[in-house]
Amino acid sequence: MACTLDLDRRTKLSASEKTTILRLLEKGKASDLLDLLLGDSPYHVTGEVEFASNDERDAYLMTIEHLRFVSKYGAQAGPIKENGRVYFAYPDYFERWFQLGTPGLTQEDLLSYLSGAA
Amino acid sequence: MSIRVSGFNPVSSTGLTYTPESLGANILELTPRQKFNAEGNIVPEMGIRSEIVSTFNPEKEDLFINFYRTTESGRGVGTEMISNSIQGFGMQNVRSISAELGLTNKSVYEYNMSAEGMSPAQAASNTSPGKSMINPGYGQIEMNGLYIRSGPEN
Repeated sequence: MACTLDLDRRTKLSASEKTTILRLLEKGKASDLLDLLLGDSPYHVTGEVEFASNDERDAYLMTIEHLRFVSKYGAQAGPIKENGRVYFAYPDYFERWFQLGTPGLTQEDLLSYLSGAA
Repeated sequence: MSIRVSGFNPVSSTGLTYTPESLGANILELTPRQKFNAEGNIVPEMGIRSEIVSTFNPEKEDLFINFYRTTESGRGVGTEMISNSIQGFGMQNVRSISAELGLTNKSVYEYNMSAEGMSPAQAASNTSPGKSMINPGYGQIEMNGLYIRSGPEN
């Protein structure tokens, strides 16, 4: 249950912040968002990612795959085959990630990024 | 499709160090508390970037991959985790490996059949877990629904 308490303490994103994220993607900042989710960004200020459910974990992992695709190929629908591998966008899981409260990305992370980098 | 190779060959190490944890009888979890940084160097990591949970069935001599994930792309971490899990139960004990295709690999599997015209076994062999099962030397990919199995025929 400690995991749930930690998640409750986390500040989730508002609807306007969802719009902010979508605009970041339109501006070609998908790789910055990817780094935030992976914890590789200097603007990542929240601790270790924890998941309250497998659904959250799946949405997080698929959003990482989605952002990798968008950072490389932009708004194309996919799939795209390159060097013998095939890559997919996962917009449905990306939307699910928002519905679940953006597991792996807190309001603090986003504000940190927006105040420092965007 | 039949891809036969002889015997188990541990794959070359990525350099990551895995911490084993027994989650129950014949259930093994491996996680590295490390990651590759932007320069490709291995550095400590608080969170879990990669993990695998597998269950060994001693009667069937089969290693079932319950769950595996990695956010390390293109470094062979998935293959390494499967290879290390086999060694965790003893390479002499594991005659086959099986798993259910996960979300991204299901997409690739279905694409390989619909767009590339591959058979189910070929399509599965060209997914990450398929390659990860073939690389250590188990070969002979079979598909049953979304379940992938590599090893001698039953």
